[in-house]
Order: sequence, then structure tokens, then C-alpha cells
Amino acid sequence: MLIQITEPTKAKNTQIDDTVAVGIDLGTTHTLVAVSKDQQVQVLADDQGHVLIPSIVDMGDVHPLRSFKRFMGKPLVLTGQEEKAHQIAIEASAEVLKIARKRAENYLKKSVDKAVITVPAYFDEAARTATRDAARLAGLEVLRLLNEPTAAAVAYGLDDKNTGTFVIYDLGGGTFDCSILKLEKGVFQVLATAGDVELGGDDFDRALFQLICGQCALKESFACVQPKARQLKEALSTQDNVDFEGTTISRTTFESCIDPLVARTLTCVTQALKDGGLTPQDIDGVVLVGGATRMPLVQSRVRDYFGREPLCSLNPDTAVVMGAALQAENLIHHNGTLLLDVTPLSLGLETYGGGVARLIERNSPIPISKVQEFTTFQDGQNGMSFHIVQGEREMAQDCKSLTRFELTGIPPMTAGAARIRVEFHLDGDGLLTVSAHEAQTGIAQRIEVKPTYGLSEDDLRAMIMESFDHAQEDLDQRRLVEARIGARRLLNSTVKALMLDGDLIAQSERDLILKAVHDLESILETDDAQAIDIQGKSLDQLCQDFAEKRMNKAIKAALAGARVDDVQQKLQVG
Amino acid sequence: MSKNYFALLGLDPQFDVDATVLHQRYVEAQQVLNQENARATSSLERMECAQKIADLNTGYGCLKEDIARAYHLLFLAEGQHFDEDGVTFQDPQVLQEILDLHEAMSDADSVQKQSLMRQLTDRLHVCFADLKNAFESYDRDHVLTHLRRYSYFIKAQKDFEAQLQPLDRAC
Repeated sequence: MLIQITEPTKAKNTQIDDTVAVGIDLGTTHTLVAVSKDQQVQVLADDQGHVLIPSIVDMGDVHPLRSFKRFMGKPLVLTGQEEKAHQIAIEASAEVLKIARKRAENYLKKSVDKAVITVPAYFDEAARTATRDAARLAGLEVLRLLNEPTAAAVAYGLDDKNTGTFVIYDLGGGTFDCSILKLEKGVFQVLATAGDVELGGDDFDRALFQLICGQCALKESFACVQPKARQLKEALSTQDNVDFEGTTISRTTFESCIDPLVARTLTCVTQALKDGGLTPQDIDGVVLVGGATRMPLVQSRVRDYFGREPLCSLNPDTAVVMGAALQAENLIHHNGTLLLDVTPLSLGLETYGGGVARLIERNSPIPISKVQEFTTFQDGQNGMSFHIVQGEREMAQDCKSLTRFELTGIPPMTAGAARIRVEFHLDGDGLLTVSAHEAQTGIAQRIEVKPTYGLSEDDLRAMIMESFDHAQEDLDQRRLVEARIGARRLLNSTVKALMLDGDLIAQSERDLILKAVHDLESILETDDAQAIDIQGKSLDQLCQDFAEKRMNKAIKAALAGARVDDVQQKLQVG
Repeated sequence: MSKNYFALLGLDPQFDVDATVLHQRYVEAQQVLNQENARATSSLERMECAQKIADLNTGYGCLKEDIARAYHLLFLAEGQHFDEDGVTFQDPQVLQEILDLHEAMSDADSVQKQSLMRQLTDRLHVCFADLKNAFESYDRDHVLTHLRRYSYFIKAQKDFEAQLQPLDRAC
């Protein structure tokens, strides 16, 4: 997921006052369209008064296409079949968007060519690009792709003038999204997000289908029975029992089947709270969005989790599209509403030894720039290789590799003398620019990458999940690598210093230092980071007096007319 | 980190910053910049505005964190960045204290661990106050000493928290 704060390139639209933009909730199972005028939202219905546009398209195949949203923007490298599915998903989405556009034009009696379209918070860059492509095919310019939970918050915030920290619990037809937003004086700040793209109302239909299969001999497939299963599920939200082909299904039995699914959503909620540094007690309100939140079990489990009644004053099916319509009006007419979004994964550089130096942390507000200085590890090192990675793991090999580039032409210096300033700039469209600049020579290198391009939502989720699964072992490995690097650096400089200036200290002191050097060398190959650290500190401590003597010698040399550079270089060796 | 983030957020450069006021200033500044962005007519203006928003986000992220804020204050006072990476922490008393805490933690049951955490939190409050005083009666070396101490205790706290609350599997 990326970037909702500002859309600089769209600011020109503010000049056109008579422009009307619509909000579209392009959902997995249904799509809705709405228009906002003076902050009053109208969700548009067809001639029969139905507001839901089924996200189903007849492409001439045997079965009409459903749930194609799940195929939007699949990975960059596609097999023939995947390529086709990806293209079909865009075309099918475009068909649904055309229906939404037509509905808006009929209502407004004018041409509509601008829209705010909502997407799941965990949609990556490729899926967002695919959504934009679909809109373009439908003749719509996308003013902004708005995260669905954020849209729901916009709807609630503007309607109820709420202030506080809110959880948006969005259980839609195909996906679950949880976002934590801070709402304050018209400002919507996303603090954290989490989600499950494999969990939605469809899964509850399937659970009911399996329950029915267990109670009576059902010959039809799930696809054939799903509409009926959904009806029964909806009926069980208001009735204690329903009948299906002579069998009675109780709400209690149904709820025991779906309880693990609801528990999965709460695991995501826990994660999002943790990322936002919050506890359930810090939450001022929970907004329920998505038709599946009508299920009494969902409402009661959420109520128990947060210890408060969830907010559901808006229709959970239309809250998202209402927010999209309001945001569309805001973008056209600017009423001061502000969205502050965050980046979903950390960005960093591989460091010597395979660790990761994170420059931009997950859930940082965007756009953002971060600078860090790096230095050379070896004497005379004249180049530096940068490996840019994305993810939460401690070792670069376990993160997603984004790109590599080289900075060459660094003049030969002692290890640690070069100063290479690396800047990460993540802009409002999710484009990461990395530049590296060596201070003394001015040599520079710059590269642009799209951090989330080619990452599916599953990748995003899996990457975050893995980081928690391996947190401790990652940390241990990183500590060990860092301890070894520090120790090797200390060993190199101590041995060099002894060779150059060993005569400054007594033989007994030299022997003590040499013994400590050997001890450190022998412990270096063990896996005990703490022991390496302790031995390193002991050697460092032993060298204090020696270092002081070398410093005095260097100062004397400087006073005797040596070049300052030479003195500095000599000092850095120690 | 070459800009004055305190000025960017309309705050006096001091170590003890009220988190609520900081957040308010951040939101106000965002409002102003986003309105400026909306009024922008050329791509150059929009680019400049986007850069200002990025600086604001970076500045807010820096001032929100005690350690980053302290290094930023040092940078403002000294006109140079302090790269502490690779600097050996030579404070035997603190090292011993942390070592003792680690040992006590590894032997403790859950109730004792909670008690040790409270002890560590109290220690952090003292470190914070010391650092605040060091900045007020400014002396660079004094500030650096207390800053390193505070960093070490914060790192220990993070380690212990990770031990106490093993992260649940993400969704």
C-alpha cells in the first residue's frame, strides 16, 4: 500500500469549480458509486433502486467472471496464463467502472470523467497501477486512489466530527483490512495498517456451505450454491435458525464454525495496534465496514476485544463509497481535509556482513527523506556497492531486494575515513530515489526504484509475518555479525598500530595486548556475540594507554611540521 | 538532517518537548503545506511543496524520538553531526549495571521480570532528567555522556520488552 497524502500532479483540478468527481468503491463482490455536493453524499442506485453493482462481468466465457479484483496487478514476471488473468482483471474492472460512470452520468445529467477510487490498504503499486489502467479504459481520470479504511474514516469523521484514535475494521467480500487512524480537526493520520487478503465474506459463505454439506448430501459445487449460502448467512444475522432443504441450521452452530475466521481478523487487529504502539484501551472507537460486519458474532467479538460498542451508524456497505465521494469533492473544492498516510514496509541498505541499515521505518509518514552516512571498511577501498532492500527482517538476504548500484572512484583512504552520505527519498507516489555522495571528492550516484512494484499483497503480508517469526534469530545473527565486524576492525587497527608504534610501550604491555589480540582472534569464530563483545572491550581497554601515547607522538609530529592530513591519517590507523 | 527541525515545527530548540504540542504543530504545518500544495500552479511549485512536506515528516519523525531529538540538538549546537557508530562506550558503571540487569532478567520469573522492567523505567526517567539538565547547562561532553547512557538503557529496555512480549504471529 502506498501514498495518500497529497497528489501534487492533480492540484490543477482545483481550478475547475464546476467539475464533478464521483467516488467509486470498486469491490471484490460489489461496486458502488456516489456523488457528494456540499458534503451531502448521494449513493447512486439503478432504476430498481439497487445501489450495489455486482462486480461480475460476462466476457463471453462459460461462467461470468467474479472476484477478478484478486488478480489485479499480480507479480511483475507473469507466465502466459497469469498475464492473461491480469489483463482480463483490468478489462473486467474497466467494464464495471463503465457501469458506475454511466450511472453517475444519468444521475448528474452531465459527463463524468474524474473519480476517487478506493482500493484495499494492502494493494501494492502494481495493483494500484492496474486499477488506474482500468479506470483509464473506462474513460475516468483517477484523482486519487484512496485506501478503503481511510475512506470509511473520512465518511465517519466528516459526518460525526469525531476526534480520537479509531480502528477501521473492514471485513469485505474478499479481503480483511484493519487500519488505525488518528482523527483530529479534519486531519486523518494513518498510524498503522494490517490485513488479510485471503479472508472475507466469501470465506464465511464457504464455511456455511461446508456446514450444510456435513448435515445433508449436497451435490452442487460451492460456486453454484454460494448465492444461496450467502442468503442463509444473511438470514442468520437476524434469525436464530434457518432451513435449507429440510435441514435446520442454527446460528449457534454456524457461529462455532466461523469463530476461527473471526479470530484471524483479531490477530490482524492486534498486529496493527502493536505497530501503532497502542493497546485496545487507547482506542476511542471502532468503525465497522463491509457487509460481513453485520454478522452478530463479528460485532460481539469486536465489542469484547475493545470493551466498547463498535460504531456502525453508517451502512457498512456504503461507508467506503461515501468517504470516496467526500474525498472527491474535497479534492475538487479543497475544504482543508488532510490525509496523512504511511509506508507499509521498511526500506534500507545492506551493510557489511549482510545486515540491514533501515533508513525509512515501516509506518513512517510519507513523503519522507532520510540521510545516513556510511564509511569504507578496508584501507584503500575505492568503491562501494549499495544493495537496497525492503522488509522487516534483520538480514538483507531475507528481505526483498529492490536494486543494487555502485559508487566508484572513492580516493584511497584508510578504512573509516571516507564519508559517504546516502539519502533515501520516498515521494508521494511511492517512488524511492536513492542518492549516494562522497563528501571529499564530490562523486555521486543516484537511482530511482519503485519499492512495491512487483510485490503482491501476499508478499507484503508474508514479509511482515516472517519478520515476526524470525525476530529473535535474526537479531541474534545480526548481533553476532556486528560483533565480529567490530572485533575484526579492532584487531586490524591494533596490529597495525603495534607494527608502526610498538616501541612506544614496554615489552610487558605489548605482550598483554598481543595476548588479548590472540584471545579475541580465537573467540572470533565462535557464535558467542557477547563473549566477542566482552573480549573486544577488554582489548580496547588495554590499548587506552598505547593510544594516548600514539596521539602524543602524532601531535609532536604535527608540531614538527608534518602535514595535517598525514597526522590525521596516522591517527585513524589506530 | 541539515535543517533545523525545531524551527520547521515552530518549537524552541530544547530536549524536553511536549509530545501533544509537537503533534499539534505537525498537524498545523501539514495543513498549511497541503493548502499551499493545492494552490500551486506550476510543477516546480508542487515539487518544492512536496519536498517541504517530506522535510516536515522527517523532522517530525526525528523530534518524536528522544535520542534522535538529542542528536539533532547537538547538531544545532555544534554545527556538525555526531556519528556514534563504532564509538566504544566507556562507562564501566553503566555497563556493569546493564550487565547485571541482563543477568537478573535471564534468571527472573515473570513477576520478577515485571519488577525489573519497572526498575528500568525508573532508571530511564532519571537518565532523561540528567540529559535534560545536561542540555540546559550546555556542555558538549557532558551531554554526550548522558546521551550515550540514555541510549544504552533505551536499548536494554527494547531488548527486555521483546523478551517479555514475544510478538504474536502477524495476520
